[in-house]
Amino acid sequence: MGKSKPPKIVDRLLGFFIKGELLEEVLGDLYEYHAELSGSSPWKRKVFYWFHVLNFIRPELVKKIVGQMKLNNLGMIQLLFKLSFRHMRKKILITVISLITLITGVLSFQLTFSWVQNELSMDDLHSKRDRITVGVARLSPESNLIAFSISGLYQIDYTEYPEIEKSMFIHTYMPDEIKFYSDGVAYGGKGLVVDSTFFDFFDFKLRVGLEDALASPTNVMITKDFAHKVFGDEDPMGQIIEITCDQKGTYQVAGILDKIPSNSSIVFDFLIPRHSKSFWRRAPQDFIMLKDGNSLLQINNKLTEIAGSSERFLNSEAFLYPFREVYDDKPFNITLFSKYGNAGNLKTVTLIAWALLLITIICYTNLQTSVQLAEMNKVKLKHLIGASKRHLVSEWMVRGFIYFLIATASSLILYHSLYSGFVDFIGLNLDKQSLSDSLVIAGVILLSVLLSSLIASSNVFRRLVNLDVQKEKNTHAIGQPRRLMAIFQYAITVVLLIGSVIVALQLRFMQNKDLGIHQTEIVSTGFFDVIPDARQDSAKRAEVERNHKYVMDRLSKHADILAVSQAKEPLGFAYDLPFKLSSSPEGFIPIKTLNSDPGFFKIFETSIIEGRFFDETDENYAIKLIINESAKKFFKIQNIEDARLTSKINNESYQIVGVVKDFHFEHLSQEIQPLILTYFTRLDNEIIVRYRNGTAKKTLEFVEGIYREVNPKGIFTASFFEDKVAAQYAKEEKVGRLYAIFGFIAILLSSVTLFSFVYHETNRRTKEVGVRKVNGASPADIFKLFSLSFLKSVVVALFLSIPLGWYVMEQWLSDFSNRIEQEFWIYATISGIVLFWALAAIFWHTFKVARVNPVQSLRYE
Amino acid sequence: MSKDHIGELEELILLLIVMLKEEAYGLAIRKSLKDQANRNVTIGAVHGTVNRLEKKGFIESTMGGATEERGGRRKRIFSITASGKNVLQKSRDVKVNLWKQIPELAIKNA
Repeated sequence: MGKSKPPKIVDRLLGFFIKGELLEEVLGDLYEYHAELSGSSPWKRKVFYWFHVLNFIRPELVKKIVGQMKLNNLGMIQLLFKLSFRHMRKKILITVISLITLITGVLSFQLTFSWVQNELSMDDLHSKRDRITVGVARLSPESNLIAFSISGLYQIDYTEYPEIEKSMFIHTYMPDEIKFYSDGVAYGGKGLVVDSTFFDFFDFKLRVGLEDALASPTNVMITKDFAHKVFGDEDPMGQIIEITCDQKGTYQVAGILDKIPSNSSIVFDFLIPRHSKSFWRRAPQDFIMLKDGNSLLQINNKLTEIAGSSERFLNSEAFLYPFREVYDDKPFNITLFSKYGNAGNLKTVTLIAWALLLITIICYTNLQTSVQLAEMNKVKLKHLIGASKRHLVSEWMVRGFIYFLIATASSLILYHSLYSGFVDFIGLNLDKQSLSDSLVIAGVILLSVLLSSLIASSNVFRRLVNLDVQKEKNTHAIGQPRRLMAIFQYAITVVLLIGSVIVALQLRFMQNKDLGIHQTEIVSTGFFDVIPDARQDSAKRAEVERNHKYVMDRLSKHADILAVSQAKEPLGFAYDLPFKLSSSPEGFIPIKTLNSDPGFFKIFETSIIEGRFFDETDENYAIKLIINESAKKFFKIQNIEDARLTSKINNESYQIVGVVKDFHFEHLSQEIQPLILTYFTRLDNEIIVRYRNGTAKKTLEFVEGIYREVNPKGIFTASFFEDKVAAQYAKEEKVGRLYAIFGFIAILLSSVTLFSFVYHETNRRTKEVGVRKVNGASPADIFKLFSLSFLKSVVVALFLSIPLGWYVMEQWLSDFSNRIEQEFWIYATISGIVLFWALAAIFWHTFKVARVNPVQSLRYE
Repeated sequence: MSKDHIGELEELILLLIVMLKEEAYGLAIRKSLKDQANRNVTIGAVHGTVNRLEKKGFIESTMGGATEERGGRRKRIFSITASGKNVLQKSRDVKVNLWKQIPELAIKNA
C-alpha cells in the first residue's frame, strides 16, 4: 500500500478550493479510495482517482467569500470581477464607447490586414514557385515584353539544357472564346489547355480524381464552382461534355478541383489535356521549371544569345521570367493571369492598416487613462487604507480582461457574420481564414487592452506619491504626449478624408465626362458561339452563316431598332497593329486599331471631320481605313486623299476614307491616342443594337425572341453599354469606397479621443465651472472655455495634414490624363466637417457641465 | 425550499447513516450505496449531500480517530438527529399512504 501514495498536488488543489473545515475528511476519503483502486491498472487508477478529485469541486464544498472578512485568492478574483462590472455599469457611456472603439478598430485592421496578407502570400500555394519560370521575348529593343512560346519562336529544345527540369505549354481560352457544352447547353468558362505535367508545376488542390487524369486525352478536370454551375447537384464525375473553341471535342469529367484560392494569380474553370488535339490556335505560353532557382541567370544568358543571333528577329531578346514576380511586376499582360498586383496600392493599404491599429490603441488608452485619472481620489483612498499597488493593478487588469472578453466575442461574431457582405461591398476577392483571422482579432484586442492598462497604471502610480487626498483632487491637466497623439490621430483622419473625397470626385468626373460618343440606348448580345472553320465542320459553318443572315435581317428591319453593328465597342478593345505611312521610309509603329463597320458610326454617333464613314458600299475586310484626328496629326497627314497606310500584317496599302473627331475608346486615365478604324467583323462577334429611346424593354424582348429562334437551348444574356462604361471604373470605385470607410472610422475614433479629453477636463474643473458661473459666466462662456484648447489641437492637425494629403492625392491624380484639379473648397469642406465633428464630441459632455446649477457643482468634491 | 423536504439520494444516505452507525463516514456511505442500492456515485457527491443534510439539521457529525490507511487523517462520523428521524418517518408515511390509495396494485400484490 505504501508504495503508491496519492499525488501531493491534490492536497494543494483541494486546499485551494475546498472549505477548510471539510478538507481533512475529504482528503482522508480520497486517500482511502486511492488504496481501494490499487487492484486496477495504473492508467485506470489515475483516471478514476482524478475524476473523483475533480468531482469535489462543487458548490456545497468550495469556499464561499460572501461575508468572509479574510479573502482567499478565489474570492479576491470574484470580488475584482464584481468591482469591475459595477464600475463599468456606472460609467456606461465610457464602457460603450471603449467597446465600440475596440471593435471597430480591430475589425477594420483585420479586414485590411487580411487583404495585405492575401497579396503578400500570392501564389504561395505552389510549393515549386521559386523554380517556375515563364518564357518571354522582346522582339525589338523598343517593344514591350511578350509572353510567347519562345521555344517555337527560336526553335529552342528545352531538353538540351541541363538547368531545366521540365517544360509545359499552356493555351488560355477566355469565356468568350471557348464553350463548354453539357446536354446541348453552352456554358462560358475560362479554360486552360495544358500538358499533363500541369500538376507537377502547380499545386491546385484536387477534391476528386487523380492528378494524372490529364494523361488521358479524353479527360477534362473542372473546378468545384464551375461543376456546380454546369451540373447543379448531379455528380460531375464521369459526365460526358463537349468543348468547342477553334477545335471541337468530346471529353469526360475525370477530376474536380477545389475552389481556386484568392491568393492565386492563375484562375480557371476547367483544364483540357493539350495532346487531345494536334493544334490549338491560341498562342501558348512556355512554362519552364528549373532544377535550381539560382541557375536562372545562367540559362537566360544562353537564351539571349540564341535570340540575338536569330535571323528572323534580329536584335531580339529571349529569357525566362520568374513566375513569382509576374504578379507584382506585371511585365506583360496576358489573359492566363487573372490579376496583377499593385505595389503602390499595397503599400498604402498596409500603411492604413497600421495607422488604424495605432489610432485604435491610442484612442482606447486615452479613454481608459481619462477614466482612471478622474478616479484619482478613490485610488488614493484605497491605497491609504492598505490596498497595495498589486491590488490596484489587478483591479485594472480584471477590468481590461472583461473588456477583452466582450470585445473579442462581439468582434468575432460581427466579423464572421459581416465578412462576406463587406468583402463584396468593396469588391475584393478574398478567402476567409477563420482560425488565423480570429487569432489576429483576439491578439490585437489583447494587445490594446494590455498596453492601455500598463500606460494607465504607470500614469496613476506617478501621481500616487502624494497621498494628500483632500487637497489634490485630480488637478492633472492632459499631458503633452496625449495631446500630440491626438494631433497625430486627427492628421491621419484628415488625410484619409481627403483621399476619399478626391477619389470620389475624380470618379464622378470620369463617369460624367463626355466620351465623345453616344452611350445610352445601346445593348449587345452574343448570338453565335465560336464558329468552327469551314474546313473542320462545313455543315455547321453553313448553318451559322444562314442564321446570321436571318438575325441581321430581322434586327435591322425592326421599327424601334435604329442601327445594328458587329463592331468592337470603344471600351479598351483596341489592339496594337503595326502601321506606317506607305510613302515613308521609316519602320512600322504599333497603332491602336479598333474593328468597326458601318453600324458602329450610327450607334456611337461619332462625328466625321473629313471624308466619310464606312457605308453599305464598302465590304467587310475592305482595304480601307478611317483614322481619328490624333492619328492624322501623328502621321502628319495633310490631305487624306494623298496618304495611304501600310499594315505590317498583310503588307497591303490601305486607303484612308475619312477622319473622325477624337473620342475616348479606353479608360479615361489614358489620353486619346491615334486610332485606326478598320472594317473588320466576324460572324461570332457580339451584335450591338441601338434602340429608340424608351423602347428598352420591348426591344430586349424582341432580341431575346430571335435569340431563342436560333439558340433554342442557349442562355440569353444582354449587356448595356452604359453599364460596361461604368464597370470600367470599378477599380477607382473600390479605392474610393475603401477610403470612405476608413475615413469614417478614423473620424469616429478621433472624436472618441477628443471626447475622452473633454471628459477628463470637465471632471477636473467642475468646481471651477461653478465659481465661474457664480461670477456671471454664461453656459456659452463655459463651452468656449473647454472647446478652445481642444480645437487648437484639431487646427494644428489640419495644418499638418492638408499639405500631406494634397501631395499624396496629387501623386494619385497624376496617373490620370483626364483629371480634376484639387480645389480650395474641397479642403475647406473637409476642415469644416472635421471641426464640426470635433465640436460635436466636445459639446456632448461640456453641455452637461455648463448647464449644471453652480450650487451642485460647488458642492461636488 | 421547504426545510423538511428531502431528495431521493438524501433519503437513501440518511437511511444508510442509520444503518452504518459508527461506520457512517463518506467513503463507507458511498460503498454501501453501491452494495445496497446499486447506485454508483462519486465521493464528492456523497460529501456534497451529507453537507447539505447537516446544514438542514437532519444529521450531526463528530470527528473519529486518525488512522494509518487514511494517511493519518480523521474520519467525520455522521449520526442522525431527531429531526432527521422525523423526516424519514414522514417520507415513509407519505409513500405508504400513497400505496394504500392505489387499489389495483394493492390487490395484485395481495
